[in-house]
Amino acid sequence: MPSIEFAWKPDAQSVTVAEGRFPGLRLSDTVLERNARWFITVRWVAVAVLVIVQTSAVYAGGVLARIGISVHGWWPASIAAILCCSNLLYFFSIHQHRVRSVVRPQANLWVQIGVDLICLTAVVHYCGSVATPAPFLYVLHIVLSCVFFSVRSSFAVAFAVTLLYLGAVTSELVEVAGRHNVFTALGGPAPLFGPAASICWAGTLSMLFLLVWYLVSQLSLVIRARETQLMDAHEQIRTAQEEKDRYAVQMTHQLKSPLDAMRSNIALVTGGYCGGVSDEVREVLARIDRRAQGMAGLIMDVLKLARVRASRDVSGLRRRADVGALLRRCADNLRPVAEARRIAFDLSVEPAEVECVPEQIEMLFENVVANAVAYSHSDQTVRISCGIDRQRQAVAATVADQGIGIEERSLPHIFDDYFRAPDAARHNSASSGIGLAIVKTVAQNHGLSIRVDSVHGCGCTFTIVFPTTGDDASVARDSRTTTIEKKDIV
Amino acid sequence: MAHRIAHIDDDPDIRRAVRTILESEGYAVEDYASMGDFLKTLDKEQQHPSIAILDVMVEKEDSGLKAYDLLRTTCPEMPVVLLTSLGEMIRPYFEQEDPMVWIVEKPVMPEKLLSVVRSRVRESDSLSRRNGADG
Repeated sequence: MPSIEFAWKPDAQSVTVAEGRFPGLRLSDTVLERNARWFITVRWVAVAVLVIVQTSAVYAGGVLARIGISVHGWWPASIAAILCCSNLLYFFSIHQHRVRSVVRPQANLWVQIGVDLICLTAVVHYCGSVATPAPFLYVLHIVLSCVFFSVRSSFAVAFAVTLLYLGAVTSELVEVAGRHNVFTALGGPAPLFGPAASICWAGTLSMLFLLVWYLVSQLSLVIRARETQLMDAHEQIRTAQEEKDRYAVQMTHQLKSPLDAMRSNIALVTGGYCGGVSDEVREVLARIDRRAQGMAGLIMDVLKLARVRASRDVSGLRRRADVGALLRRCADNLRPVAEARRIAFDLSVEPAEVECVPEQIEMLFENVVANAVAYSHSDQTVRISCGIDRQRQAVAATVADQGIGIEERSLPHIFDDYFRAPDAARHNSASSGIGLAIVKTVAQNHGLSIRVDSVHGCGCTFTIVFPTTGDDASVARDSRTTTIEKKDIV
Repeated sequence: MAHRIAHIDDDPDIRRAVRTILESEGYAVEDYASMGDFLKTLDKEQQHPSIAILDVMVEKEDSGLKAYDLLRTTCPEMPVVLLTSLGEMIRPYFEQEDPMVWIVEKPVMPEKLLSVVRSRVRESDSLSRRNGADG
């Protein structure tokens, strides 16, 4: 006999937060290219500073001397020229990579760092390797390498910095290279430090460089790990939401299908496809159908509400849509229901485009218009209009009925889930009570405002105002609650 | 000769209701409980039905949508009606404003079903006449 064994492990679907290090986390070419471009931009600032220093030394040497600065030779201009030429080379190299994938951004960045460190060492030497704060400029390179590169690569940069700096100081101590100091004492050149002071200073700074590397690289590691965890968690949430939506659709289908089958059979009987039926039987079947219709409507409304609540962030889904066209389609869809109750539509819509999620706005209109029809009396008219509100400089859509209206004490609650005013429940027992909750959620998602004007027993007017294009995002962020204003209609 | 209408739905009550309504109007209804059975028959037959009425969630949650895509490529001349409990909620699965997508929400209401079927059969007839005229 065929058999199959099932075994289930405990649910392993909770969000896992990965702990641990990411020593070799490699950045993509896109990110590296962006970093390379950023370095190129900042390097122009360094070139500008060097040019200013050289120009000042040439044309304002006396002024500089009075404040204690002495720049000899043409080293600022030389280094600026080297940086300028290399910057242009880096720029064209990146452009060539985009066009023909010649030199990878990583190689470009490494060359930039190498040339920068050599030029910076020259600046440090000419400024004064132990007499000025110039060596602290190395810290900037170490920090940037920790941010942009992996731990190993940033260590390589920190090590190179230490070697170059120690090399510069050593070459000055053994008198291979001369010793310089841009700062001058009053009346003459500033004193130079002795060997012990130089060694102490160089040693301390080297340890500082390695300490900075360690601290910033560890911090950078933690930040990158958190970023990866955040991305993983975001992906898990997205997948969970898709699963939830799929489940909701399946559940809706499973719950609604038996009701649809029941109502289809009722339609066969009441349609005369199964022979004649008495008026009493027809009446009872109509009641059964109404209750089944109410239940089916509730099931669909729950699904719709769940979906619009799940998609609160509509920023990526918006596109231009004509509000007038959406209203016209809505009226066409509901016309058979309206005509069955001898309710006419009076449409007066002009084209008016807004940025929105059309499916959600259509759902909003459908609920408002359906309510207008449901709560009108027979032989009445529902007026639907839309256009530009010149005063508010916004698009406004209005749906007005002459039906049962809403009592003043019920008005503040009409957008609550499952709320039904007493009159509404008596007039339309099949209502789910969450149609306006759907309207409210869509309005919140889009930053709309809705004005409800009603006189009990005389009718109701819903005015939906769409914010102007420039204010869309700010209105959505700031106005999460639907505004309800009450006004008596004469 | 009566127009042939194929109907695929795993719910026997729905199949019975559709058959009863359409046969009373003189259509010949061929109903299937699974997409697989319908597609096999389609492969064997030379003459395809005038229109196909598909449920969306038959056996699997999107088998109706997959069958629709298949029919659009293999039998583009055959109009399709999607008869589904989910109604317009499945509209986002199709290209925006695709005029070939006709969605009817269950339950099966005779007037609505007949109105849609008549429109689609008219389309099918005019397509056949145009293809016949083109040779």
